[in-house]
Amino acid sequence: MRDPRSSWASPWLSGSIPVLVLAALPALLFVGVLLYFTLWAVVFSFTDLELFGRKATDWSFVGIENYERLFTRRGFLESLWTTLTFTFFSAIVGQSVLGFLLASTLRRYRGSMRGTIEVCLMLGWLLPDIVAAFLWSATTSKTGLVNQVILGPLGVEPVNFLNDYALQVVILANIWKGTAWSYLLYSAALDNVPGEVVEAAKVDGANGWQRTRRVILPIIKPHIGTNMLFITIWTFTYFPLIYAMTGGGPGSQTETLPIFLYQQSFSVGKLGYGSAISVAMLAIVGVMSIFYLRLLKEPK
Amino acid sequence: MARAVTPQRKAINTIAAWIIGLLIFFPILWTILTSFKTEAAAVAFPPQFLNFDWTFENYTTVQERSSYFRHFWNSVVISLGSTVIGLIIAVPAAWAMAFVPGKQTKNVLMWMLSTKMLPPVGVLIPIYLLFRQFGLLDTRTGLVIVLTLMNLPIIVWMLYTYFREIPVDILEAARMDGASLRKEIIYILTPMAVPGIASTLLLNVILSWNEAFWTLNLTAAKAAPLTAFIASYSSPEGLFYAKLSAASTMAIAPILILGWFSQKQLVRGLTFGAVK
Repeated sequence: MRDPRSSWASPWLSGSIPVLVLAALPALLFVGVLLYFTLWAVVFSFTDLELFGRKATDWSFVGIENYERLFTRRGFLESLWTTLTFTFFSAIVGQSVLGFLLASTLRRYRGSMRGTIEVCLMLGWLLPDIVAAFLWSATTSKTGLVNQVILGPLGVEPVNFLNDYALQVVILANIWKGTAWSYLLYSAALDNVPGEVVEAAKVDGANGWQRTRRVILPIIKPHIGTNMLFITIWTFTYFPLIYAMTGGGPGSQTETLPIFLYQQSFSVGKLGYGSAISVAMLAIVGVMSIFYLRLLKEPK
Repeated sequence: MARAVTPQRKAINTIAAWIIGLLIFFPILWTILTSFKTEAAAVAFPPQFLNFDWTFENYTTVQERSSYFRHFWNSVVISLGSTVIGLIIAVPAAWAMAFVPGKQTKNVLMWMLSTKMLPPVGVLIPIYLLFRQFGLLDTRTGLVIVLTLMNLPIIVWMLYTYFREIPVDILEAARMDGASLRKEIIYILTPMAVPGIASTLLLNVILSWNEAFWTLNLTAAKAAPLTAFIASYSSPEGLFYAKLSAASTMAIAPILILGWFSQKQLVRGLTFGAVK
């Protein structure tokens, strides 16, 4: 598909180019400010800046001390591991796989059923994180829905899920909250798969699994890549849901990197160390993006 | 694309899909129901589904104890303010990128969108310090500024995908007929751009309304919007299910209503225009 606007637009429009450049400037400036703040975070990461006390004003550069601390002190590596577990199970296994299954199941249906389920999925997406966190804390608490409706009648002693299975519960909550996005993206991707190709594979004797694995998945590979890129990064840096549900606890079982960063910066008050954590996170996110973008580019 | 599906399989799929749909919806429904119960009924065993004494006392308590309407108003000001300012900045930019794309336009757009990939915690410390210095902590102005900054890339991107669908030929025709840039904007572009702008506005109001990271970190009591207000309810004194449910229901009601009426536009917005 050729886009008529892919190169310079027609001479009829080019007269107003200076105006247009001027029009784009404020937005670029604004986004530039965001990057400027990121730069500051990098600068802070080499200092011993603190939130309160003497070092809030009288700070000095300490070289890479904060970065050494990431690896020598307890906390960062454990937290990184928690974050990776959380991201892997809730985004990649949960949202993406469940989203794909729902999309490929529901696309055979039209009308009210699909509509209803889509709305249900979307509601999770639309809810504020804080409300979702409350919903899940309430549902899984000792007097909550799961205990009352499912375990109680079965005669099982009430379980305080947020205490005993904290990480599993936050992972479930995040799957619940985020599946809609993957679903919508995969739905759109599957609608673009030409029917004849699938039919042809069927005529050639490919069964359902083979058709999915060998025909459909390769076609929608770019969409899978895009989806993975977004949800991995979002989940990796996701803060409010876990913070409101567990605050990182019990202990540090659900302390993902954003929460670790938040606590080191604003509870402990070590802003320099906190900045080093955020720079480390940026680096990890950067590596992930490059990985996924490679995956996307490979075959054209 | 009709595929032969056996009736049993179809039935199983249907049931599975419905169960998933209901599972997803049930916690929300339960919260709304709980908001009409007394605290005792909220934790009663066996759970009461519809056969409880309906009461509105939670709603009045919530309003009395923590002035719901003030937080509601904060939410309105912050989400509308940041969206409108964002649109004012983004419309010209998206317009320029969609109609006079240069060689770098795609790259610039990707670069803008990639800032959305930065973890917000990464810029929290500089912004916090800056706000402390300028007295912007716990003010609506401060939050409007931050949310505008954060949502701008999405606003530009969304508008761009909408503007690109406006046929460029019409603009050329207008030029040939001697329309000035100003007239072109008023009589041709604006009417065609309104639907796109409207959906962008809607999505961003919802995103800002739901925003929790910045509102939790940069507000205390004065400028706290509804999300921060709910968070303050849940922590110290143990969970008051019924009251918290009432607070949550009030916080999500506008979103649910908005969302219900604008599903199609939202789907498109949420997926950055990947879904038409």
